Amino acid sequence: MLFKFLCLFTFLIICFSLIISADEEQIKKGEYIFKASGGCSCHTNKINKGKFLAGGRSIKTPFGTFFSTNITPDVKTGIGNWSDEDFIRAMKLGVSPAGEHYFPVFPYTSFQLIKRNDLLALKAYIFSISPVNQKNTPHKLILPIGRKIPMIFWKKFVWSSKQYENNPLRTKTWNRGAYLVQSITHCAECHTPRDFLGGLNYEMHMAGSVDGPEGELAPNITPDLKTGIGSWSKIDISYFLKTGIKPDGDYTEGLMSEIIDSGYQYLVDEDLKSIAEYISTFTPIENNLRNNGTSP
Amino acid sequence: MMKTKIFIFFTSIFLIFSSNKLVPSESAGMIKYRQNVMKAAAGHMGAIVSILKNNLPIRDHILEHANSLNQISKMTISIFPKGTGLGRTKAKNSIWKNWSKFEKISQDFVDESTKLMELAKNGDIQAIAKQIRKTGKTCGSCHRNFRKRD
Repeated sequence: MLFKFLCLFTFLIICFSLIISADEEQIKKGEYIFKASGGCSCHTNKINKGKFLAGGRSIKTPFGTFFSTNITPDVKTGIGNWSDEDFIRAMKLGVSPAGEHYFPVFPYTSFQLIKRNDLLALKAYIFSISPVNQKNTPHKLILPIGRKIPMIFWKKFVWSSKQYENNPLRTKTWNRGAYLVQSITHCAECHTPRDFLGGLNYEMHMAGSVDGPEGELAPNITPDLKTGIGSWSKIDISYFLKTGIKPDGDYTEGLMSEIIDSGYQYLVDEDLKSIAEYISTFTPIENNLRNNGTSP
Repeated sequence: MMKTKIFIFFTSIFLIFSSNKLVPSESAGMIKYRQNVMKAAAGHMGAIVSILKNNLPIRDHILEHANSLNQISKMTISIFPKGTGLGRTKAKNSIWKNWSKFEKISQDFVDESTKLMELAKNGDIQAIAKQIRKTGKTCGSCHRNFRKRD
């Protein structure tokens, strides 16, 4: 009898530890995806020493000032009561659990391409951090319009829902880079200019934008020799993403520096290599965004 | 009336010479000079980074570049005198409005480049790679606060 009891007890302990280990593994994977996304730095109000992922950071855009939301697992003010499906729907369709459409300042337009398993790991990580009770700040838009009608219009005519698909004609490394850049690292959201409706102008894919987030210039990262990063080698690209140091020895500024600090620096070498492989195959586009050539 | 004119003349002369602001031609010269100094700093940073990321067999050069970078770091304060915020420069006026903050960040550059130099003497590549980033961040911190964006 005692032997049976001991066997059952041991079995339960093993099962329990396997479950915990699987959860930890999922959280660890989620943390990596979180960092690959740039550490969701928009959701932490670093300038005002805000708490991690509690939102409140202002994001100036041509459409007005948006304030990032609290994505900590706080039940009242964060996303603590979201189910897995709520999270997936928000990330892939830009719709809140209450059915509200998010403005595309939240880059679900890229995040929709993240694979379901990766999204669930990301949720597991976000739900493992400390909840913060902090109410969201209302956005200050240029046009005092509601969210529902314009966003339904926008989603119908400007945006299209899609899934990431591998390109069988390309290498495994290239496809991994394409997946990361198009979905998780969401580079196009800043480096591709937007049209007057706020949609990405794909004819100028990655050719830079003067209206980047927070009013910053997002450089042309196509391999154009004159105005882009055509003179950068693949090693230059991956080293830059790891360190923020450009081939000419200058250090990156603004949001990119923050994103590298919060996230990209933690990418493993294989992923950095994949990203560099993919970026170097962009179509070169000449787009001079710099208005002068002066220095300090 | 004559006395007033003489007073104004000498007061003006006094103000011009007692001020540490540069006259426009000197200002333009100083701006060009510091642009070249900053380019030299970036050049040494870029050279170290090139050796590291391409694993070039000239690691002994790292110390030379680190030494030069450290020398330049000590010049930073002196190449931003008052009156050099106008003209073809990306230097923000906030440098002179927040001089103590500028001094602090410049000192960080000196401190981090000194550490880089010390590590370069030992030749520990991993440690140098970490330290070059820390040194670069002091440049980034200064640019973020005090350099106009494009």
